[in-house]
Amino acid sequence: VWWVGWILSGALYLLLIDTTDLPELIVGAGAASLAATAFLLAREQYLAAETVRAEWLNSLYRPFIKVPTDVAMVSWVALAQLVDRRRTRGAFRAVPFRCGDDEALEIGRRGLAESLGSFAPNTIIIGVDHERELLLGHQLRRTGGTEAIDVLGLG
Amino acid sequence: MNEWEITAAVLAFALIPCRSRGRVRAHVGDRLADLRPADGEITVSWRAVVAVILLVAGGLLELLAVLGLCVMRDVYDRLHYVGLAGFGALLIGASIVVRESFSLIGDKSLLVGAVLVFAGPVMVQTTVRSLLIRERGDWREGIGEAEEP
Repeated sequence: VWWVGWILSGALYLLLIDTTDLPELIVGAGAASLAATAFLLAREQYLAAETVRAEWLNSLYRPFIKVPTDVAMVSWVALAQLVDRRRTRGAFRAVPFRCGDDEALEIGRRGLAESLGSFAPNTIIIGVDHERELLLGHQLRRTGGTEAIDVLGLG
Repeated sequence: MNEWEITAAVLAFALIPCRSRGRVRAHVGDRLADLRPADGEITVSWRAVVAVILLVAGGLLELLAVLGLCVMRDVYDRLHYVGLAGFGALLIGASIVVRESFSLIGDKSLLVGAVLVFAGPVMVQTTVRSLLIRERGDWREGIGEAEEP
């Protein structure tokens, strides 16, 4: 796993620097080693592992199709704020999000809900509150029901 | 004719006042004659047109993101414009790919745009959590009850 991480991060580094000079290659090898070690450590703590179920990925398209409308909405709010200056426009929201016992799976589910939920710019997912079993987020313009916060429908 | 000249021509067309239909036709007739490319000029391709559209759209999104950052008064509202800036950068990267194809520079610009789009939400989420912890002591504090599904 360490070598897979090292090769992938080294390839990304080479793609970004566009040169094969020896000093750059040495720096790239060092950076790739750090990245691969961090990936391995994260994997050992279940932060990056096989903790994602295939059926969760069925709704992976939803955050992407939300992007055009969210971009238009956020742009419109900026223009509206020029005319009507308000102290706050956004709102915090909380929607139900059940939490299970399998820690590894829960990390994967929470990771997907938090990272892809914030993909479209109108919504920022803050996190999952385990005690109250809630998914907390902030919307610049309050729209939609629970599916606007729990975009992948994982709750 | 490069994309900057096309953009300037589009803006110039938009700014020319139309007084009457007859006059417009006469002007267009004159202008077409003036716009013929000189010998040896490369004609405008669909690729250049798409690249200009993407470049202008990306630039507009970046401007709107800056505007949003400047006019919003609440810090949580401002943070939404990080995402908008990422999508603007992605459109500019895509315009470079359309113009230069999948070359080193094209790949790199697309990669930078993709990194900004995917890293932006993560940075914003951690920033919001830090702000909430600083303000309230706990990021879960003060955020209301669950809505009905």
